[in-house]
Amino acid sequence: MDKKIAHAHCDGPCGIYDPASARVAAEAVLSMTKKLAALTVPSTDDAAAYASYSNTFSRYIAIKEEQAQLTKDELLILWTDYFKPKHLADFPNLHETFWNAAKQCSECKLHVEVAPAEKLLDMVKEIHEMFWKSKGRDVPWTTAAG
Amino acid sequence: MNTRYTIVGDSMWPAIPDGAEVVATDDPGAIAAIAVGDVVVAKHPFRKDMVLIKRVAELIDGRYVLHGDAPHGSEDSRALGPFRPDAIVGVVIETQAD
Repeated sequence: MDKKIAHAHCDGPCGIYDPASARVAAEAVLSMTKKLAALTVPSTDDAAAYASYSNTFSRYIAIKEEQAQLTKDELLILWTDYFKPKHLADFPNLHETFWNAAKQCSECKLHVEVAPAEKLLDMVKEIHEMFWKSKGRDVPWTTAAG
Repeated sequence: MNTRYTIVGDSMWPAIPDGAEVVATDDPGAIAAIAVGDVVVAKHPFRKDMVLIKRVAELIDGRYVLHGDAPHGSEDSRALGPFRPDAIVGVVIETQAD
């Protein structure tokens, strides 16, 4: 008997999903938060130093804000496009996990504190494990920052 | 002639999940007898060498309206329109899911 493939696609462009995109963005949030926490405010008497500080501070904040939103966007793609009703049997807390992680992205925007950013990365790790388990693969968690 | 197909995708979940195997026949008599509710294998209208597996939802003017089973969505007649009879390459006669 001939053997072939028959496609049961849900959507034309469906295909490539990987929580690595969310992980890289969440790592950037953590990195910017650490850099912000390490900044020292120069004397306002030194105009050049203060301008340089303000510029650096603003850029770190802008990147943190942008990468936190990117993390949220990447998580929502996994939640709403990749994960299907069938996955709820294996991951009954799937919706709560994603909902909390998406809210954590907003927490990272609100604060300049390392703890919330670390918590976000932990949440992305949990989603990484859920995702690869759903595909029957054992993909180790590796971060760019080591 | 019968052909065994391995299913890629979730649009026929839960009846035919991703990775399941089905056997389809291209017997002209079986194809002529296709009715609403049957699962068929059909040529994609504009993706060369790709065949889809969907369920017959309706017959309109000799054409087949094909829908996936999955509640979360399916690329089927809702986007592609009804399928012409010559697009149907088989009728599923056996399903083997894990």
